[in-house]
Amino acid sequence: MFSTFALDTQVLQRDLCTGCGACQGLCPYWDSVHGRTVCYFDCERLDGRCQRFCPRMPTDLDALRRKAFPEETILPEIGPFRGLYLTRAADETIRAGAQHGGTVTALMELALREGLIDAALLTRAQGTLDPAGALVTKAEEVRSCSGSSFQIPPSLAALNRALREDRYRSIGVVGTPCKTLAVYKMRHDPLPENDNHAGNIGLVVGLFCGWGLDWDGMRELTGRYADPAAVSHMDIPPSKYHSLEITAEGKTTSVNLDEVIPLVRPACRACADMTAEFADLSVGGARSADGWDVDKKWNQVVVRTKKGQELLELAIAKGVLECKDVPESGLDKLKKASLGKKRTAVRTLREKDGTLGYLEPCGQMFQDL
Amino acid sequence: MERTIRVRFLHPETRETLMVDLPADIRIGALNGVLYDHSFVYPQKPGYGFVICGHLCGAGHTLEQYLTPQAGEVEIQVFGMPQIMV
Amino acid sequence: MEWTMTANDPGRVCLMQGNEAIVRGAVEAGINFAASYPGSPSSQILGMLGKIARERNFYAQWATNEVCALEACIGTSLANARSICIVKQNGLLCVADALHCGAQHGVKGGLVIVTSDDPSAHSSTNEFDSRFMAESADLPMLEPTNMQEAKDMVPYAFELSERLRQMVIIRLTTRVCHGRGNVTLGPLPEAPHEIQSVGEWDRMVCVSYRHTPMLETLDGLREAFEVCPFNHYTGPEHPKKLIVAGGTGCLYSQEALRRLGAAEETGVLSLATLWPLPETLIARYLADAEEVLTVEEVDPFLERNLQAIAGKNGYRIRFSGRGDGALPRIGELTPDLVLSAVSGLTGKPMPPRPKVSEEPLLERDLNFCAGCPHRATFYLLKRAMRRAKDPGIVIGDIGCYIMSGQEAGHYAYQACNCMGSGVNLAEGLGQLTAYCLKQQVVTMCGDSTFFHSILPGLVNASYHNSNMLLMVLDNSATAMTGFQPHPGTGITAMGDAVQPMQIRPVCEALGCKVTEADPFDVEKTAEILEDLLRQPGLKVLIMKQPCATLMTKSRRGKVKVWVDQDKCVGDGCGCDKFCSRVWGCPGNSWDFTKNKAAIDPVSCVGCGVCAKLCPAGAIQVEGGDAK
Repeated sequence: MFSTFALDTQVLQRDLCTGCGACQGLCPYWDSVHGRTVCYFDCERLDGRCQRFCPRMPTDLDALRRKAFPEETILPEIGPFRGLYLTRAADETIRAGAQHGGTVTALMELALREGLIDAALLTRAQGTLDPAGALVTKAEEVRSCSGSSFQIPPSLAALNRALREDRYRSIGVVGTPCKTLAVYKMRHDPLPENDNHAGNIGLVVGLFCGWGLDWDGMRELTGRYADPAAVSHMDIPPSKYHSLEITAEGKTTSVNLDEVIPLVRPACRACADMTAEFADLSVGGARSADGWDVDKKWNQVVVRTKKGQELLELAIAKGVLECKDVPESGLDKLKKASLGKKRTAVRTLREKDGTLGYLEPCGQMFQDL
Repeated sequence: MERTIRVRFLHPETRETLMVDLPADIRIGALNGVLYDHSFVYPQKPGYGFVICGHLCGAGHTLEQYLTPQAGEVEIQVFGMPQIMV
Repeated sequence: MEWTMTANDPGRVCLMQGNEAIVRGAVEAGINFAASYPGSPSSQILGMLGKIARERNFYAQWATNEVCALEACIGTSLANARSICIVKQNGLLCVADALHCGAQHGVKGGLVIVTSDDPSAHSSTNEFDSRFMAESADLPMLEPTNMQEAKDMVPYAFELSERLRQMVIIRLTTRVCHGRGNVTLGPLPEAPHEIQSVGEWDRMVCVSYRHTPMLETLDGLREAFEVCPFNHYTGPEHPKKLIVAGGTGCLYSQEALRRLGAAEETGVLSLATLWPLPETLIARYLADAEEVLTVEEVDPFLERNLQAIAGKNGYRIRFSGRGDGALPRIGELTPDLVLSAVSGLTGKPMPPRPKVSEEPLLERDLNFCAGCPHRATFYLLKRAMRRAKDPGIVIGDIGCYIMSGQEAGHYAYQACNCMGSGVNLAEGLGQLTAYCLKQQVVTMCGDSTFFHSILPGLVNASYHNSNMLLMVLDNSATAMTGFQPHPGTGITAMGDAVQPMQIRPVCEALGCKVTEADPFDVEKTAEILEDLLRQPGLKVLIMKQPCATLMTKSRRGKVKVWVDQDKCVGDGCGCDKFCSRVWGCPGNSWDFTKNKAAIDPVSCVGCGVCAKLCPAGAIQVEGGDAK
């Protein structure tokens, strides 16, 4: 199938596009406008990077992870697993500007400082709204990318552009599960005649993700409760709170989640990956018996590869990250939450046309769900 | 074995439909002949265009290049192709 | 070398185009005034009249539109001036009101309207048959069958016009306008026709009760047309098989009969006086006929009138022509089509036609010229429309940019009507945006079209604050018809330099918010366009960049454009032949030996836009305007 036609009909028109940007920054045809993926003109190639990288084109996730990770480390519920940690940045100033514990900021700063990576592909938002992919090359620049946005930007477009320049030898990529999956497809299923210089990707840090929200809807919703330009932080506490917290000018407003749910990007309901299973390590908000007030200042980290392990241990050894004990039920809780998202994905996909859609090639992974 | 596709054509103005079984490797340009044979549209000098899922198909392409490997049917919107000074 | 148009050499035989023959005829008639708006196939006429106007002491004008042209001629006729107005079939439709009113009040100085139809609409949006206007307005109409007649009919028409005190229409079609044939020059008058003062009690007012005398004038004319020298008959005295032909039909039929060897037994009645028809003359030949083939462009106008005459006289005749399928119902005649119809009439077999090739001819779609600003405009517009949340509506208009509705402009617009209609279609849609139509509305016009017919629509849109964007594609030219002067160009038909009219202040005076942009500055103009589309209300965006083929376009030195094929991605992922396949300029070609893009140095004019857009930065530009 022609590439742009395939992506548009199999992904965009089926409401499966997450807006990750993997198809962008490669050619004149794909772009993103306020979170919407647009195609300007059709391409007539029957094979292309956009088709191959797209995390929502039919993908055999099982085959891909076997290529990338040792089989014995793979857990069916949460993917490749070497260990679960509760961490936070030791530096208070990092924590002050972070989403939760500042772990990702601390790790990326360290990686850049130590020369483990020579560039990092992060996300920079203006007060949590209208985020954009940002390529930083100095450790000092990392902090300006702290904090999450619920509007997921097409940051992989910036990655593609950086890869094309072939200037950086080891780029660290931070992204939501759809993005890290696309990155692994880049590395392990490249176009034979053009590998997109994917060998220049050095490190992948995944972010736990429930769903992303509609751009225009979020701006409008935020505007109802605060001055969008002054918003410094947004978060969604554990489900029992059923709320979205918006912090602006020191004041935090709690918005009933019922106002937020309609803004969930439809594609996210077809996503089967909560913990970013394709990554060196994956980071999310902590969940422990200590309760939300404590947890919101900590992260939980799933280490997936040796490289991830080494980075985490280096961070702890250098005093960049602080650790605390993971409660016994921690892993089980995480597995349960992850399975919940997989079940939603299977249900959403089967409702569309009775099949598993883009997950059909690895249907056996989901047959018990 | 030759692959056959059930094609449903949508008339550009009346939205009437024409259902035909066609070989998957048929040239898009050749679809004009199919429409004319069935008297579905008035023959016209520039021929017609064919839009699948909002994309105008290339006349030199084949139908299967616009289908997934598993697809057995497709809906094609006939595009009036108004050409000035043809 | 003396020009045939003004040569004082009666009796000399010259090879002349039909349009030239009209010009020569007008000069021999001693015209005082000529006005026109350019339109194929008669654009050349006023162009030539403008060149010789000073020498022959008359006034010639490229009017802002056809209504201005015809009404100016009507005005000058009041002062006894001989005036000629040249339009194409669309233009005749534009002047319908003035024409019908004018027919009722009549004229003083002779007024000849030359209307040129475009059968098959090779360069038009419809193939309206002007002959119906003559019938509708009760005006005399003549149609020449060759170039000599085209010339001779002009002074004849002026004399007729003055005798009847009525406008006279000469109808031409493309092949008569553009064909060439021998014309014997006539004498030139010493001076043009005499202009007279308008008396206090002179009148030329359109009132309804003048309709009756007008009809009587026409009836009287019928007698004159019965013996008009331009109608002629060849063939047997009492033809059983008869061809009645008008315009191109005459020569095509004669050629067909010669080729089929049927000239001896078939009559050809060539009619030049199309309205009113010389019914007695016609009936005389219909009386003997068993079969009559009517050969005419485009509608079965003549055929139906012949059938009416036959009916009135009780003749039993089998008629064939446009009406019954012997000739196609639409489109222009060709010698082959007529040959086939005449073969059917006479029963003579068709001569063999050698087949040149089995290979079908490659069909190529129309495209903008290399370096055309419209290519950039519509590339940017397509991107802007695709970026919109709710894809917008685009309305086209008439000019070169009408091709934007095809592949050349990425199938830009959903609707297109006649000249100047875009702003009005858009205005209506723009009002609907307040009634739950959630789309941007965009329309376009050229700089000549702007003055021609956009102005009232723009007043309307501004006054009613319609939610829409008008793009004025200002390429400093009436490009489509051949660069004739218009009010924005600063030059007139007679070659005078005058103050050009600026579009921007005109729009601003109408209360519009105006922005200007250069379509070649793709990055900046993309932003301007997107910004404008976000704003409510009426917006005017002037896309200013001269036409690529405008001779006076300033170019700073030679420009060299080439493709660095090492950088070129070609049909690889990341490009897929963007320059030749999507951008589509004739200058962007393909090197099949290297499988890479290449610039065609013959077509490329060095505008440099493709270099700005090349995804690999492979197109290099040296020298010239490009930055």
